[in-house]
Amino acid sequence: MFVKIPSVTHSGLSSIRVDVEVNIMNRGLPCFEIVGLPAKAINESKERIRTAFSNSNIKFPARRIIVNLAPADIPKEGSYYDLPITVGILSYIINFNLPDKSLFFGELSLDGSLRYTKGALLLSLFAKNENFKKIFVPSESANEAAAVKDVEVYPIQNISQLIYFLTGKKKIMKTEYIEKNNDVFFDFDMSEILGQNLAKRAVEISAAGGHNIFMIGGPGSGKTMIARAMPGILPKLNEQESLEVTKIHSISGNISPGSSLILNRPFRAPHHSISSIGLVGGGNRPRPGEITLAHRGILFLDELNEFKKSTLESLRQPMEDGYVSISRGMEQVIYPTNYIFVASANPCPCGYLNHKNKNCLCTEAEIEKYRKKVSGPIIDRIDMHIEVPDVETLELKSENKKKVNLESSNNIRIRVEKAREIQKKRFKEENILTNSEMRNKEIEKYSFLKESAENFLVKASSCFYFSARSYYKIIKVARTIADLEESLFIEDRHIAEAIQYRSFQFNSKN
Amino acid sequence: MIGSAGEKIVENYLKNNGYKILEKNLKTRYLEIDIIAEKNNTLIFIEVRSKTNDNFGEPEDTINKKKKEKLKNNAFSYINYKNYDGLYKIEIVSVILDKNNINKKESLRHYKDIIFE
Repeated sequence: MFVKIPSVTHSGLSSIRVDVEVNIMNRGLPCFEIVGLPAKAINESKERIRTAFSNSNIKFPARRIIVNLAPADIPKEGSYYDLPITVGILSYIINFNLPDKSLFFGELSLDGSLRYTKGALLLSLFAKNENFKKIFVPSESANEAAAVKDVEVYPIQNISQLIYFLTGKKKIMKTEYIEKNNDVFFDFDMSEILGQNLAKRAVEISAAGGHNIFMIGGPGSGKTMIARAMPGILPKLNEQESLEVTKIHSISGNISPGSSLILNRPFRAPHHSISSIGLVGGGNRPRPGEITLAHRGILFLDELNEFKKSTLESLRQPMEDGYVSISRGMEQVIYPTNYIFVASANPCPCGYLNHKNKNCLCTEAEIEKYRKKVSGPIIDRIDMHIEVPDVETLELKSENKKKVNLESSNNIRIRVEKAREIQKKRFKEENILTNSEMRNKEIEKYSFLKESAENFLVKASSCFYFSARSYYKIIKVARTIADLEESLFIEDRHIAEAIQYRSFQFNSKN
Repeated sequence: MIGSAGEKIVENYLKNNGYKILEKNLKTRYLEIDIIAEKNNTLIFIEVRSKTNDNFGEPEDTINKKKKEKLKNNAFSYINYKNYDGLYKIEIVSVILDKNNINKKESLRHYKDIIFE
């Protein structure tokens, strides 16, 4: 007896169809084998299935059972073939017609119930593209999968329920997608941060246009706090972005069971001991790294100088391209890496360079060595550089009293959302969403730079020796500043403010 | 002594359960099979494990990977020799004999659905 149950395997963020072929023979010695390059977790599914059968009071057939995962030359990973194999074996024991145009997916527990299985969203997206009508997934993964319209998602709790359904004795209700409460979550509100009005303004511009930002300041000045408050001023993900982000987090298993699409922008803040593989992604079967997990959100590198140099240098291409291509022996994958890069560092090893009251104890050579850890190419790729000076305690106290006057994150977010809306309208014919993603072609077309502003910028770049990239980055930032003001043209003052965010040179003596 | 007593008990037990005994203590240059029987159109190779008391573990505990391989190979040899083309199984019957009277069984366990990897 031979049955074929369609399922999938994933390679990066794309899915490939896999047919789970189950053959049960009425001759030969009883055995249970899985072939077709299964990884360890798939091979172990033999034990899970056998135990789950006996715990569900189903006699496991003592026959020659061969399972083939076709195409046989692609390595398979994950634990989600438990359900298709189970259905294949069940079709030998009991009589039922396999529902046509349907996919099975899920990991079995020893007690016969189905566990949350990562990657359900990718499965339903695949089902939609390949015209599969129904998918059968563990009930805890069902809501995630139901986010894709036009696909019927059937939540399966355990084997017994599945048998009742297949034999037509009981019905299973389709999962209706429920959007879980996804309030914007942030550690700090902008109104909690006292002083630092300049930095807050810069962060607002960065959030509005998706610009990378680098904050330099002494210890305790509030760099980290500002960065941690940033998720609160970012707009929610739109439908397309939300799918992109949820796909990444679904495949890496970062979604809690039963949850819906991710609507909040991710905020990733890896510790500086991270390896370059951890940051960029990799492994034998390449997995997404922190930069991909931060897609459409924020990647915050606190204490940028403490990161290993090679780790930081690996950021060069993904920062510019918006994707990373990882090639390993087994496979090549492309992951999207479109994030706002937020970094912070001290100005010198002791941290008190240019401090109002304290003396810096570092020698010139020490400062140079410290700053050289971050290379020019990386610094050049960051649109905005700001200094976060120390806040005087007296100022803190007086501001604390009139706290009511400080703007909350929600208010700032409204402005940011408006600016993003303008950008979205402008780029509706292009494949980009924010000003920071503009390439030279789009800059020429959409920047609406006034002639006087352009002359001003040319003059400034001959004075500051801006690189070609810096020149364009200034226009991009100026475009965002103009968008925040809802001004159609880039005026002199917008360029002037944008240049201000470029003038601090971290890794050159000035 | 214990072995043959155990096999006799198992033989009676199998006969009572509808097994048709084909061969007993088959020993050639290549193979050694305790009992070969037939039931429901299935050829069944039966390995008997006997012991007098269970102070030192269960009889079936003595079946290790090597013994499993041996059982499999024995069955294969027989199948090829007889040109048999149907379902066949390997079953294990473990029997614990009375210490004072080895012709009396204390307990018996029959493992029917053994699946070889």
